Amino acid sequence: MNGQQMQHPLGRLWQGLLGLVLVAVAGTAAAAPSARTVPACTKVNVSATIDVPAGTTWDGVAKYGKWVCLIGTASNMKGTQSESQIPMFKLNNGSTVKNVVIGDGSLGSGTNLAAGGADGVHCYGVCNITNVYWADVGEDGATIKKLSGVTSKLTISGGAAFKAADKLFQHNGDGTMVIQDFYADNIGKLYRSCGNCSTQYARKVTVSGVRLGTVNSAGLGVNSSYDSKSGISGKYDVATITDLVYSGSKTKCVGYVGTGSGNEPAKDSSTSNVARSCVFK
Amino acid sequence: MSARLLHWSMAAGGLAALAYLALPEREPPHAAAPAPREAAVPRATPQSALALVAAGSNAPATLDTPLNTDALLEHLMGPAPEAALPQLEALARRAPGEALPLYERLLARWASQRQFPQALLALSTAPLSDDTLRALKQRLIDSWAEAAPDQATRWAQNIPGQAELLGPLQDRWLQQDARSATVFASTLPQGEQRQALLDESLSRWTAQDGLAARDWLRSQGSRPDLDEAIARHATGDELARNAPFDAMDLIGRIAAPERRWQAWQALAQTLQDIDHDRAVSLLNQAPGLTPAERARLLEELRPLP
Repeated sequence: MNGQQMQHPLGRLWQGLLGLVLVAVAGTAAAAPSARTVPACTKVNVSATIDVPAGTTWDGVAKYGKWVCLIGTASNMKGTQSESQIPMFKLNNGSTVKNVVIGDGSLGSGTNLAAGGADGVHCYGVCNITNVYWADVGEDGATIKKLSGVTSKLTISGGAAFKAADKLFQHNGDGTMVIQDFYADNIGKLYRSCGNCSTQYARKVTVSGVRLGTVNSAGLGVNSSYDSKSGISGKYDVATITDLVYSGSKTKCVGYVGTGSGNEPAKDSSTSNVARSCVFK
Repeated sequence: MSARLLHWSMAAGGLAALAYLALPEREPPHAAAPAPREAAVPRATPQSALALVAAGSNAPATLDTPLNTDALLEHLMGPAPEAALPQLEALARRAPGEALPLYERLLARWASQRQFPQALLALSTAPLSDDTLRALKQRLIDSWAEAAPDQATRWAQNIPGQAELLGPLQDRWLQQDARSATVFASTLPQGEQRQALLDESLSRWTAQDGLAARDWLRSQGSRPDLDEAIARHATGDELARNAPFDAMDLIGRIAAPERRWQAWQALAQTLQDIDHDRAVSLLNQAPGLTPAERARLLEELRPLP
């Protein structure tokens, strides 16, 4: 019999109680960050999409030895709301982009600017966006695209985003988007599950430890139901939301009726549908 | 800006004055009408605002001669700008619009010399509108955070009423020197703010310089206040993919048993998402797991369809 087994039962009880207390403390969700600002950065012009190979990490601070802000110079990287914008980064399966500023927040004012943010980051498969700042979001900040044979998962951790005329994070592929430890200000929506993609999926999004400043439309937009044109009628998205700090008047989570390509998704009038899709913990 | 000056400024009554700055509402400034010449109002002397605050004086510094803004500006840009503060305050009472550019010049000068506590102290006695004061103060704080975030953060910690500035200032510090900012956060008194700043610091440091951050984490031994940051870092896809043994070593250091087990499960899932066979191999080598825990983890792994 070893020493651990020889402990007095009351000692074990005490240890158990202590463990419960520790779990209660340690298990608390991480608090939302305070307001963040864009790091001071050196401008670097970028004329084409940066393709991050599968399984690798593109680290701006490691690459340049300092914070840089990437400015798209090609006509289709200006960062306007034009749908023809190409991404600043293409993340292939298993890749990471970290420690960099996308776009130039000092170019003019407002949210619909040619600030060089291009169409942000496109993720194919499993990707990580860590400690990245969008100084002025272009068309979108980041988008999950479907990679055949891989269940998508994009984890956005740390960083901040500013001045998104429309949605910040767009979920077009399948799988899960995780947004944690993040700050966003002056945005349309933090997240939107595609309302009318040609191929629809029941998607998941997890939001934890996120602080929002000014929101112009809603916190999240999910498809709380899908109609017959979507091809996945009867399914629905699920947003799990923990510690989302937002004190404005816009709704934190809005439900839509997902549909097929060429149709406009309407708001879901069923409160029970929205309740099952917008899960606040 | 030396620490000595910072402390001196505080000792000179800055605590009360700066706390006053942070108040959301305050009485409006005195009426703009100048005091009659016959009244027994002492002529303004070139004593500094610091001295006024230290003496607890609320008496307006007035002039009995017309104000010459050019001369005042020259004085403010001269070797002893503090001496001209009473005149500037008098001008601000009479004509705030004329005084504002002079305040901006003076504050910019002090900011360029990194005399931020002195600048904030001067603002604390400035008879300007609340909105103007808030804007000027914010500009100063932003400038200080950019120039010397460590000093600014310590200032916010030590001055009552400035706690809400700790987060944004720490944010700037983290961008410049994540290690020092993290160590600072770890030395704060226990409480929610300390935990939030510590989590924030480690999140940023592990992203910016994971190797150094992990070295520091290992040097701290087993600490419950580090559990959440360790779990988040160690169960992420990037570390699991590139340095799985580091990830497993870190998880073994999580203090709370239940949180540690959750982290093991999360890491096992992440490893499996990357490569099932490699996940099995790695978990078979994982340190700190009992045979029963290892068996349970492996059993929970399901090959991808």
